[in-house]
Amino acid sequence: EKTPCSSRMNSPFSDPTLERHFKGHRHTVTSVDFSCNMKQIATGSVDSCVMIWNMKPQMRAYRFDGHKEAVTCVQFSPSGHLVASTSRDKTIRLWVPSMKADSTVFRAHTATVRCVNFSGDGQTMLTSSDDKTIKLWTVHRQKFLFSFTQHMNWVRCAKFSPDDGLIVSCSDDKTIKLWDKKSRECVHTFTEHAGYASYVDFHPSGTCIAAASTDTSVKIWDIRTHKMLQHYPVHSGAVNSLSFHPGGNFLITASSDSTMKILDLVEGKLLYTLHGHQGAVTCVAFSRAGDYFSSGGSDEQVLVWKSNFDECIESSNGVKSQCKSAASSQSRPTVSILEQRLTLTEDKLKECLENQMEIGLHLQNRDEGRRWPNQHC
Amino acid sequence: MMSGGDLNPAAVPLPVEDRQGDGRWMSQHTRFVQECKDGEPEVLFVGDSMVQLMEQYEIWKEMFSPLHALNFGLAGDTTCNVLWRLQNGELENIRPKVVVLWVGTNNHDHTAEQVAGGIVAIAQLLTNRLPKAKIVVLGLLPRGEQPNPLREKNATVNRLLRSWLPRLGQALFLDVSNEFLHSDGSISSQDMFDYLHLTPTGYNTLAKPLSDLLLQILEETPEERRASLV
Repeated sequence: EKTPCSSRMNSPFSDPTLERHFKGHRHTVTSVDFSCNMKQIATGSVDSCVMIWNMKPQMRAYRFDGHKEAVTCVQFSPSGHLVASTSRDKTIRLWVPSMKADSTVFRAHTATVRCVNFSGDGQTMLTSSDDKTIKLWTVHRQKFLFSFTQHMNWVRCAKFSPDDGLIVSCSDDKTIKLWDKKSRECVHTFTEHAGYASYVDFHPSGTCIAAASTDTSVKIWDIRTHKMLQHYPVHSGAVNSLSFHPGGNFLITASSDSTMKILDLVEGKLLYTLHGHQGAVTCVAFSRAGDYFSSGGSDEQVLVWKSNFDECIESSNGVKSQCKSAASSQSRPTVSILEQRLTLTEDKLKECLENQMEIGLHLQNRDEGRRWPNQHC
Repeated sequence: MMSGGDLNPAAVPLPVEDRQGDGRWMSQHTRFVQECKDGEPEVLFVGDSMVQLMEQYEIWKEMFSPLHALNFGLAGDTTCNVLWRLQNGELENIRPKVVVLWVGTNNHDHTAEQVAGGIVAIAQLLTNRLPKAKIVVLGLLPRGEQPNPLREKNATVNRLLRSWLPRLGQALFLDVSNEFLHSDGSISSQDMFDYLHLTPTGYNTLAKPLSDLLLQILEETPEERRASLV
């Protein structure tokens, strides 16, 4: 009974829905990541634990103790066999995500470690720290390879490009830096003015980067031309995290204003605002295939949502429903508000402005027509 | 030196009564307590309007924000008020490496000895709560356009602090008073627009030595330098 999507429709999707709601952390959740097989989700928290959740309702979650202070970041290795976690205790731990919770710990930095990122081949990993450095390590035996030391303040985040050839980092020194992994040189510096970026990542194509800023904006820069491509002033609080959909057309952002927003990068506009957390949303990540995303917040909750980007929904009058509650009824309501109504209004406004311009031009041409005989050429 | 037995009125924790009726003092204190939940400060500034005003000028953004500093200055506060605030939430959850303490010029009901005693009591509290932190106590600046009794009182407080603070191992004293006095003893409105509060120019005079000291303390981590990498 589904009617095929008309190509004229801006957003032929059904709204994202809340699928799972994980409770267990005892303090703010700081980081979330899906394994490649999509069965497990790893989270880190200020409660100093790493937790591994299973998407199957019957499977229980694991809690990994070990870090002495807040966990700042977690990431699955590309193969899914390891989970790396970083902490305020200045160490990195590599866990095997099973009941045994084996882990290796190594002291990587001389201050809080903020972020860890595996290279695509799983052989190396990057760490960034309040000690102002970014370090590259082998995963096997955790051998230190080298440091990138140009930042002048805490380095909040460092990520490999999709082909592992470049690294992007952001710091409280208000810069975002691009580094060439082979030459180890900083090839470009983007400077923020108002706040600083607390999270950066590469677009799946590798051609641009997105930065989440404390000044509430989300910015996209082209890494070849170094120009800013898009600027989304959509949040009313600091943007803490973001995640590109693997297809490259969408970006989800998490903010201290307690919402997440899904941005349509092709149209350059806001698509959805998601409410579900009480308090700041600190982290968000798409699954590797993009069909789910997960978020964590200062409310200690971990939410898992179904993206529903592939499905088209029919509607009788061509206008989408304004909002839809979570499909699976949870004790807390969540709302995805489709921004298309706003777009329709904007389109109408655009039409008015265009009409106005045409009228203006028409009048101008009429006046000029009268003056022409008198003009000097 | 005030002994434990004497009750120094300047060392008694007291909140400010809401006489004007708009609850502003409590609003500010509540906001500071909330900032302790969200922030990860390496430097904490606490005191009266001399501290509070600093955050309104460019100097704060340039020199102190990058150090991950929190500003818990509250205009009008005495040593009693700062003591109360620190005991009632403004030290929860945070572990700054340095605390900058600047208070005492509003203690009009107390003698110079009592004021100095109150400042030392705050420094002691900070050391108890944050054993690893350094406490930088700023000397009270001269006030009033020309020499006057309050200037003498503040100078006496500074003299006493200079001799009492060394007994607290983690406390340092920084006094830039002389920078503000002209040869004829007058203070310029270019430095203090109302002969009490500092202008941006006035803050620049203070900020440089203070910033140097903070950087020195923050970079001074001998234990960390020795840490092995792998």
